[in-house]
Amino acid sequence: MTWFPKVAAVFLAALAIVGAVAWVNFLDRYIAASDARMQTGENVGYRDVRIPAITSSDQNVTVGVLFFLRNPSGIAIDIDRITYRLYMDNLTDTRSFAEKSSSIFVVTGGFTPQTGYVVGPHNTATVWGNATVFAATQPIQLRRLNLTFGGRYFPIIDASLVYTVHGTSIFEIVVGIEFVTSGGILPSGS
Amino acid sequence: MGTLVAVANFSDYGLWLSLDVGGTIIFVALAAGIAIGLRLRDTEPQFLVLAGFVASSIAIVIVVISVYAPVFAGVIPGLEALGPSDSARAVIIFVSLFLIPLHLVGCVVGYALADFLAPEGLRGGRDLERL
Repeated sequence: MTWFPKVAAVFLAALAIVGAVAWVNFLDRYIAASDARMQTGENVGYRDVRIPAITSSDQNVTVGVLFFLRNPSGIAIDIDRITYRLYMDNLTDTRSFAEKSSSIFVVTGGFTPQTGYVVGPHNTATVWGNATVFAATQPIQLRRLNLTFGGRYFPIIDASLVYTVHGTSIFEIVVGIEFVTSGGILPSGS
Repeated sequence: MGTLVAVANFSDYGLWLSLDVGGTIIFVALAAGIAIGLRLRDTEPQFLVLAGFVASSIAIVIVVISVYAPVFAGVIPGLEALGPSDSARAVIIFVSLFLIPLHLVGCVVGYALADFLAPEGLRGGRDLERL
């Protein structure tokens, strides 16, 4: 046998080995990332909402919303940003939310880490997203926020999440993460 | 061939190997074809072409399997769940069709190269001097 069929055989073997290793790496990441993209939207929600009691009209009020994100997939997820719009429901206003939303809107808030906040594979993360209502510049918003029925707040929160599948350039936006309570929440610290 | 072409098409996933799509298709198809041509020096040319065609067809099947891997794995109901990129996936499969002609050219080049490199007396071509 001359030398060139041997060289060709070695080349084909090397190509097969490199191709197989790269393919396994690709399949692992592609399937895990697809799994993450499918399931993330169903695994993000609220764990707590804290609104302090408002005792005076010149009080700056910081609202805290505790989000959770479960990652059931086999690849990490980077939380790039969580943003939300906070509304305070006026139970005496019987119009639909779409009609009254502009009159009950209070403030926007969120969680924006400097770099992506990593949620590991099969892990759950909880993060606070804060929003502050400044009495000096937002008196109307403070008045809307200070609306209780039976000593309870009835906030409505509409959030969105922007995340990246870790180590990739695949990013997704989850919109319409809703928080609505029928029983209301007590002012925090009370 | 199919594995490397699939890997080249999904560089967004932060893979271990990052490849240019066009360069990969041309290089892998030609280089593998030349290597197969060199290996099959003693076979009939029609068998070489058939082998090249079968090899590149299997490579395309591997590309298609790769594109639909999450569906086969059962993590998504259909590829449309990953977003409106049907045309992008069609392009991947269409581009992989170029493997067939390129690979056949590589096979023929490899076959001719093997004949050219073979020692005197072992060449499969016609001996013009004897004619």
